[in-house]
Amino acid sequence: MYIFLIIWFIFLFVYIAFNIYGLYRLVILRFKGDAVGLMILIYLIVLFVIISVSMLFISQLDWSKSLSQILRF
Amino acid sequence: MSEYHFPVPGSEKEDEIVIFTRRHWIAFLGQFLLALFLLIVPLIIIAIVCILNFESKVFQGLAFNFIVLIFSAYYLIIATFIFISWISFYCNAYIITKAEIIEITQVGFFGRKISQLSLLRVQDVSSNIKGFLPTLFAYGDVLVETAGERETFLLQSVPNPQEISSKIMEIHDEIIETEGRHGQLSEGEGVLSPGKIKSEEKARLLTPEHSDGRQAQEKIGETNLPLVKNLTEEELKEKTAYQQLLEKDQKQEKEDVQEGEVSKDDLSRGGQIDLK
Repeated sequence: MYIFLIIWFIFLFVYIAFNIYGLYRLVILRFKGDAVGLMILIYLIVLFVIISVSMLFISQLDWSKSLSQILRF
Repeated sequence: MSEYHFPVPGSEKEDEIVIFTRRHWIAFLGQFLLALFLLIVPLIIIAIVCILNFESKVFQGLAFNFIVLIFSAYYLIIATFIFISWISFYCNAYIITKAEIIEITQVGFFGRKISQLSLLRVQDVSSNIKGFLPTLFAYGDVLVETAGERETFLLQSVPNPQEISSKIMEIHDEIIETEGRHGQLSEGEGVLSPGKIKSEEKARLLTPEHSDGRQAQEKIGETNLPLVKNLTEEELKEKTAYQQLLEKDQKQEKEDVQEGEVSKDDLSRGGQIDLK
């Protein structure tokens, strides 16, 4: 099961890198007095909540068992 | 704001902005509802699993580990999708300055298209409010057409489109009046203004006696005129005919009701056109 965890972390890393660059591009193209700053803040809070909740669940689960057991209900 | 070389809010040229508008928020309603639906899809799936009494099998085995990862990635992607949709909506802006219309089109994080149109080239402006929601919330499209066949500018889903279209025409008329470019405007309507050099001067320069043709062409500023240099007998005859046409043209000009304008049809008769 570690393989899925590793894939998820790789995804998370790429996702965060994409967002950092995207938000940087967005910030330099802002106008004065627009709502982009507020929306970026809300977006970052949402991402933080999703990642935190995911981490919380992931830390509670047992990832040491083999992949073949995943289909055994 | 360093990437903008035209008036935007907060820039040094901010005073030149007459109208700064974005699309109406109702135009985002469709994407908002789609986003809402995508957010509740996993909850619907969970509800169905619970109704079918599969929860003990799905949420207690190792499959739960898998589900946590999938849901986590799903919600991250959906959050980004919603944010990008909002950015694509909100960062689309229309700026109408005292001289031009600027359209900023944002596509996601990395796509940005900026189109500029000089208000001097505007020929026709129309506003269009169509449908129940646009009528209710007073938003619609403004179509700005230029003299060119393919060149149109569409301001989509802007609030108060009639007000914007009338303002555009008002600025356009102001520019025409202040710059005294009525003749150039008329060009797009089939009426052409005369050249800088008067017809008398052209006729004088194009006489057979005026031997240096190249000089004459340069003085007129139009090198695409019929031969003036290397005058053969045949060419001299043509030139004389051309000269006669010019004389006719002069008479025609005097008869024109609007002084200083000559119709497009005069082109075929050898009239000189200043296209600048």
